[in-house]
Amino acid sequence: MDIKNIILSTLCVMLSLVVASCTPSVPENAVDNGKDVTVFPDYTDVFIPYNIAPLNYHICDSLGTDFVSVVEDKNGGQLIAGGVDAQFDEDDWHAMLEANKGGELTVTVYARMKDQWLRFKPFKLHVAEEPIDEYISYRYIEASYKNYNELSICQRNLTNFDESVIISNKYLGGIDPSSEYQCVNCHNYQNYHTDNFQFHVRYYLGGTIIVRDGKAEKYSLKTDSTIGAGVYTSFHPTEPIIAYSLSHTVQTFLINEANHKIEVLDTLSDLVIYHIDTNEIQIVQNSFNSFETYPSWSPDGKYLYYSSCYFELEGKDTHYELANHYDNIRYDIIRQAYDAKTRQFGEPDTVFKAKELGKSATHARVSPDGRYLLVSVGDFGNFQLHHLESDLYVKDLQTDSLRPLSKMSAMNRAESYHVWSSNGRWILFSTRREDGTYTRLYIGYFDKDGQDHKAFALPQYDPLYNKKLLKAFNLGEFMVEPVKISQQELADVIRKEAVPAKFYSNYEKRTNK
Amino acid sequence: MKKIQTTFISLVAFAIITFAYLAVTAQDLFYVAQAQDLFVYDHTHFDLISEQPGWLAAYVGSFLTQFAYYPLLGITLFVALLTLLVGLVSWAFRLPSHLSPLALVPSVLVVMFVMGWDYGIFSSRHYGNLFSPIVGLMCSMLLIGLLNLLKKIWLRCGCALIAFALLYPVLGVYAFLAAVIGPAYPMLMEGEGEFMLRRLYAGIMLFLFVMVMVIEVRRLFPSFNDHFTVMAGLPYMDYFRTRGTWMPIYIIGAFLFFLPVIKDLLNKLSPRVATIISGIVALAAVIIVPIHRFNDSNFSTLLAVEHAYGVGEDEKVLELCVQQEKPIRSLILYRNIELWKRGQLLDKMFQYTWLSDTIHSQNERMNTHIVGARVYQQYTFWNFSYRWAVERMVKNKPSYTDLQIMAHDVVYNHEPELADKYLSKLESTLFYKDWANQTRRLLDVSVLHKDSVWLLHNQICVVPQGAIDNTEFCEYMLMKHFTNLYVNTEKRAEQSLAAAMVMGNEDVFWQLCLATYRAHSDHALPRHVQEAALLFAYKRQNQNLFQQIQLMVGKDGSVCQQFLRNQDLFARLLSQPNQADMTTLATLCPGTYWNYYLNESHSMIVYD
Repeated sequence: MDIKNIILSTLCVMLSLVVASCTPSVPENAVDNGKDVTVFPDYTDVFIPYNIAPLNYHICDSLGTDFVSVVEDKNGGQLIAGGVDAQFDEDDWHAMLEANKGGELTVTVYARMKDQWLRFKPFKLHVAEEPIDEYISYRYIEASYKNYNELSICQRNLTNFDESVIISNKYLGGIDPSSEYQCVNCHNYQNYHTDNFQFHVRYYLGGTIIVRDGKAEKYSLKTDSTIGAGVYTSFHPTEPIIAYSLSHTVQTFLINEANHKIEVLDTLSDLVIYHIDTNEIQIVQNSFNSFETYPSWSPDGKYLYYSSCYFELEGKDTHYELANHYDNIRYDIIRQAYDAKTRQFGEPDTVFKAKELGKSATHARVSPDGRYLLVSVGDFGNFQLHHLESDLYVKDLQTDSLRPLSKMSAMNRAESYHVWSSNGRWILFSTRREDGTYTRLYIGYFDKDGQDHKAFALPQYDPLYNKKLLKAFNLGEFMVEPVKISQQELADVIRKEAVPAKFYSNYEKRTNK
Repeated sequence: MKKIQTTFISLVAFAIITFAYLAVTAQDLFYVAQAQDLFVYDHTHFDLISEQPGWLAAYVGSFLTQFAYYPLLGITLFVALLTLLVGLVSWAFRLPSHLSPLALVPSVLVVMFVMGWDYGIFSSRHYGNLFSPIVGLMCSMLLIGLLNLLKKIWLRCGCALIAFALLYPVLGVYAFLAAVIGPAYPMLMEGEGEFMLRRLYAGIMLFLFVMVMVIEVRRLFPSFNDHFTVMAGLPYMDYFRTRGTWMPIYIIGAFLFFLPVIKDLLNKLSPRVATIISGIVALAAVIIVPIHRFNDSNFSTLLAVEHAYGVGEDEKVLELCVQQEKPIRSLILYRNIELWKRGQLLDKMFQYTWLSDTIHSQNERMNTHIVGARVYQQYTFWNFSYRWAVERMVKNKPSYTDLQIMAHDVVYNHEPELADKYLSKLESTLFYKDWANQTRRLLDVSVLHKDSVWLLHNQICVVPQGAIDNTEFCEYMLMKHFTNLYVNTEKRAEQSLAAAMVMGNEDVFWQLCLATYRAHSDHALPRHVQEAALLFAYKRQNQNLFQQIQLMVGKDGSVCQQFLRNQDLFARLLSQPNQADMTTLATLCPGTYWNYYLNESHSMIVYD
């Protein structure tokens, strides 16, 4: 053996020793401290899909000097992570969850104080039998008022921590004053697939980008007969049709309410559908004293659900009128049947009379099996993102019963913008439960018996990511596959002139007033 | 040995002169540049900076900028690095000692760049602007110096290409500068073979650089706007309409590009002549520094005021503000806050001019955008202060100042989780952790409720539940709010009385004036209240009322006597104002409410 080999061997042995000494093990002779452990995000006793990325967490304990987290299953399998930030190996994590579908895992946290290891009370992770859609997309936006800067629509693989940008306003904007503000928003997919989806670009190079069969095109949805371009969106599950709300939106500011600093109001708000094939805008609702928003197709495409509010306006200064009565503006959930062959809508049918309860209901989302109507319910208004009191409610459309998802919702933490997974077992929603201001994405389990369970935060590799991040997530959407069209391709389309939509005049005006 | 001594002495001289100049003129600028920056030890902050090519200069620049919390420390670092840059330029280009003055030029131009900053300092979107040009140029010079060690031109070209491919993502335009300058000159001027052929090769090299740059931007920075590819890494101060601010940076690039040519030309002259010419070039750069500087007294004062508030020396603010002959609105707002804190608002607020100057800036600037958050905070309007700090943070970037303001606001608004978010950020900084620790104590409600600022809030920002306001301009919003008498407290009454006088709202004035008089009948009314009472009573042309008010303010008092002496002038100004009488009033009654009301209030810019 020559000297080179001796040095190499010695180095290998030393490296192995270092690695071995850094690998955490279950502390021996630990003593129960009888206390619940606080971890961030709060993953205690949550229900999780078996294909979710590791639930890394931060141990909130200022007294311990070292920590070990042990995840155990009923067969004696173990997963160990050391340190105040428990970060689990992805492969080991998936293997353990796969082996424990429908079962539960026990998580025990150990903390060393001086020379003694203490054991916190264990908590459970309940592994559901149903998987979650592999992808979600969302937008990063500053938790701001009027100004905004960088906006990006991103997609995330839920089985790991991979995140990529679908489109960012930095990609095209910022080259001159006219391009300083460019907003990208309201991404929406057809039936969870990404060959057909849409999003809006506002101000600089503005238009609506519709991707069909993987090919993008840019449209201008504002016509002479409508109040503006499309805002909130719902892609029909089977037909080449997209429903939009059209609105003029303003903000009003509260002087001294800590929990309610801003109220967002629509001074005008209508509903249209856009026929992609014929490039036509068809009005669904457009009365002056009525405000419709947040359209959403039922999974079978036979009904269009939306939120609607009637408010008698004098018409002089709408912003002033509405701002002075902002806490009296309440929305019901309406649905109208739709016949794709004749393009005709049925009469409006109020499916959730929230006003009668002194509440306001928005974001109607029907479960994929068509049985449950999921809504966000607040005291008033339609922008529940800023309403800490808003919670998720579900209405059983078979039994007509209504109940809050009290296990999934944190009380008074602005739960809104919820969507069902394609199998109907998972609900992705936004919430401000962590700090009251920065919206975060949480996922809750809705079992086959219609019961909700405690939700968990979107897992992040760095468990303190949500605390460190000075941006909010919004508009979470499930997808069963990633968006394949590149940002470059989308940008090329955004640079093009928009195709102006035509107004579909063969329209018999209807109103629910 | 003598040459080395000469070089050393000139470097020391440069360092001393630069330090002295910056210490005298730029301490506030350095402090504010630091306060508008942020360096936090966490990956989200790193991710934010590193999302574009050339991030290294910005990241290191941001790290160094934090030391300007103590401006003299920041200036010392700045000058030390500038001096090092002089040495690196000299080494990289192998400048002979008689041409060493040329090495000063880039450093002098960096000083010129910093001194040219204007109000854009409050709108900067990049981190580390203060130090990033020095860091970037130092890296460039190192790279050029190393490439110059390679004697074979093709080897140098190959290494330049590899170095560029490796370093463009982190150094951006600075890597480009080095990669082009390193092989370009020898390739064109010194290489073997036909000149045309060498030019062709140089062209191919340039093409390869551009290709590498484009590919790397697309692959590594998918969201980076390739419009900025060749500018990546440059300090970004308000890009639109203020590109002149960048002029020194462009000149540095051009100067360094042509430096080998200049060196060759000067080497053909006698050393003495060459020294004189290079000295003249360096001197010209030095002379331009104060010329290029943004000389605006309001800007300088605003920097000084922000510095004073930043380090908790609020007592300096009033003195700074009242020195301005024609202040911008921001300084008038600060002036009134400080008068109020001293209890002198109603006695002195009209002693100083209310005529304001606009913000001299190429880009649109709102006073509310610059100072709104701090002004609202002083009046304990937490929601609105928070809003404007967020608006600024979003439009620019997270900064120490905005994090401090937001943390402070939400602590007093009792939003503990949100406060923890901002305080945690500040606790991981070098110089703001003590402030954050102190502020964190207020998360304990029992401590908070004994705090004087909390108590003040309950006196001054009392509104009915659900009260709204949509005014975008903070001065107007405050005036509107304080003249609304739906609630009243002693502290608020003082503000309301002041606001009523500013707005000329006689109804509100009379209500509060009489209440104040009844409550404090043992004291004389504040001077400006006396002035307003006499004027408004006289204006009503009700002799009885006027007599009563004279008694109320004291008929023999100086205010009343002054009013009576000028009664005819007031009569004319109230009925048919003309310029001559207004000028007379300004001469006879300067610093009075009368002069404000009849002369200055018409131009009060409450709409920012």
